[in-house]
Amino acid sequence: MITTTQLKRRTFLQGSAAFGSMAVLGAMPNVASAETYDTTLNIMSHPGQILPIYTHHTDYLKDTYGISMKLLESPDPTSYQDALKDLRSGGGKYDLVMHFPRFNGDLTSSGYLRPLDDLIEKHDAAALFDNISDAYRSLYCEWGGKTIAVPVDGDVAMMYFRKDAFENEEAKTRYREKFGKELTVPRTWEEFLRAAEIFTGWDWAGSGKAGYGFQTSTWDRPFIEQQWAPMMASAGGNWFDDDCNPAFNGEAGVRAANDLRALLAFAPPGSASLSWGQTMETVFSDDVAMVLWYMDLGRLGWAENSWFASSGGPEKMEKFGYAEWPGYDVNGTYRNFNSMFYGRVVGVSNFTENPDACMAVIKTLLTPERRVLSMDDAQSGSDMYLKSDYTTDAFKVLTPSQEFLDAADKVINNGFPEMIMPGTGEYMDALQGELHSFINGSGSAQDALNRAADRWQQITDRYGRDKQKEAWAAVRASYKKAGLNIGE
Amino acid sequence: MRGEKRFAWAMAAPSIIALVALGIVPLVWMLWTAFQAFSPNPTLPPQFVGLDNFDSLVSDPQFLGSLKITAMVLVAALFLQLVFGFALALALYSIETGRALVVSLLLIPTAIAPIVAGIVWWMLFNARFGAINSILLQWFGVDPINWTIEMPTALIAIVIAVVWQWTPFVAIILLGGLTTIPRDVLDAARIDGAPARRVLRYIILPMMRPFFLVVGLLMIIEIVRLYELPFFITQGGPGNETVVAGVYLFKLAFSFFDLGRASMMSVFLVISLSVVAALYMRLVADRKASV
Repeated sequence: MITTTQLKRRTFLQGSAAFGSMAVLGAMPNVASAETYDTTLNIMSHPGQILPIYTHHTDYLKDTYGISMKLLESPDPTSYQDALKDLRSGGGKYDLVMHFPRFNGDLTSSGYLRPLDDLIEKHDAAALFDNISDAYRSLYCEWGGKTIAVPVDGDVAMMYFRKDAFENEEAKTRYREKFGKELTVPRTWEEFLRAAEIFTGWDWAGSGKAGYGFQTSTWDRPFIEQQWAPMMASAGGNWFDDDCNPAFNGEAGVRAANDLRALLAFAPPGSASLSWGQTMETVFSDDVAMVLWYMDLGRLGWAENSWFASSGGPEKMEKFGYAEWPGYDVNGTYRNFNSMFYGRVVGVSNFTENPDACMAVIKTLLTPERRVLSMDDAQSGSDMYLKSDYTTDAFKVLTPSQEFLDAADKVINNGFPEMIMPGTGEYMDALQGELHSFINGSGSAQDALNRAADRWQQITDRYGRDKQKEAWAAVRASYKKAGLNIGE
Repeated sequence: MRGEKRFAWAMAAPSIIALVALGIVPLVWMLWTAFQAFSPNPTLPPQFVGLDNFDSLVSDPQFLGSLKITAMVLVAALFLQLVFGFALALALYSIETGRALVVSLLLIPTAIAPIVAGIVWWMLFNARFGAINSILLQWFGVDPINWTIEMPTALIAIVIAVVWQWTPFVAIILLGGLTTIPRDVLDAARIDGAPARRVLRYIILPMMRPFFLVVGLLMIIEIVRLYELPFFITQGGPGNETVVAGVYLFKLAFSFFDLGRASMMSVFLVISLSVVAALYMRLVADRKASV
């Protein structure tokens, strides 16, 4: 049942979104008079469900700009390596490259990515860039004060919870009796742990099986870090201090690591060896009460032909509620961050001979009525990143709820970003190894993080401490610009 | 005569050029890079650093750990491959009809791309959905094992996958060896009343040594450069406890772009491989002498 308040709010949101879209569309350059290039661009893209980001525009780009796309697939984790290999072998293999934003620093400081500011001005594309979600724009599109990339997938993870679990009377009673408090959707990690404990080991879903409290993936090493890092930042930690010494191995990092390991006790048996994708199987089949997952679930989980459908997704979607990640109360101050890891961005190679044609592709990807094609597609992995994406009016095929889109909008604007520094791959490898070792049961969190910190110091020295300090200062400035209060 | 020589050189030239271009030049390039320090910034030129890369490697716990893990996998997998491969070869040798079909089917694991084999084994070892835990539970009542994220099961999982993939190849080579043993020698031993165990020990095994030598060397090389199977089955985990040399070398070269240390590690592995191969050959040769 829709209440009057909800109706008013929805009407207001729809009206605002329509107005916003009109403003953006009105400010857009006229594509009818577009220049044609008669060229083929070599475009490196992540494979699988990411390809629709480009393939939706194949005919449009050919007809409008005379641009043919040769899509060169590169696996997600190693695409930046392919870009750097291109650089080391003289460049020119790709015109446009897709990568995780964490490699913005590597790819820009090495001279591989071309700054886009002159092209934005020349092609009258400022309004399109202004329509990028503020957090994504300042954190993932800029480096050293210049625009060097554009988002194509707004990956941010939110908290999905089973509403029926939190409404279950027996669960409420158990929680009250054990903790002397009312069961609510967790606001802090302490509450999250308590709720996870309460939902573990009994049939709160009426499925005839024991349910569980939490689900994550600790086999996929990068996903441990993406779960742990926002917790660490919420507890007051940061990647580095001002002098570029590791700052993640203090009290905040240890607290977050211990809490993450404690949560595994409330996950389904054997789930520690699941890949990230497989965790969704257990969410749907084993009635896990809470999971931290990407926007794809809320965006396309309702579709009968999405990759969640085979797990029984659409039937169970109506039971999900949406919230930001929990946080920590530290010295009377509450702070929480959502995981903003693994969004995808696209940059222009400095070696391209067709920068204007590349910009035409970028403009197409950012134009709301073109961009929506890859977002409103059950086979596409492109999540929201434009300001105009967060309304149900933007969707014609998929049916995400406005409740979900509202939560998603909040989540992206309070996300803890990936660490973007030259050498990120090496830093993260060192951290992942130690976190993986600790989470799976050996040693103390402090020892594990200290070992990772020692390795970070060596990496910083290898890359040049002064240059890394400079880079870190720029990263911190981007946090401030995005309004994020990290490590302060 | 001179014309014949010229013709011979002309015929050999394409092979020589290919060998130099694809074999010698990269090797020399690797040797050169092993003594250079490459800046993370590829626009800066490399600098000669002498043996610094070697010093850095031997004080790197991950490098030393990767050698230790590789040695453990090598010893366990090689032993099992030779034992199972020889048993399989003996079984195949006794098959009179349809041997060719069985041999073809047996070669399937070896023919599968290691990257695919890695993914398949990762799925089989999955603690929650994997067939292996399911079989252990249903047939033997064994609780689920976290194969890929705990030690020593993660290492055992890698060894099982390596043995599965390459044992058929070992068996085929050894079967080839068995077929070279003259039938009349075996028949004579049998007529003299020699028990099968003694025939195996004093006739078959000595005559099979060259084949054990060749296939053993091939397997040593294969295991030392192992990459795909551990990369997919355990991702090097738990922690870095199953990061074998091949995985660490890949990380150094293509994740960290530390080309100097990566080249030095390659040189180190080539030299180590030569030493291990020499020891293996000596081991086999010594036994031959003692027979």
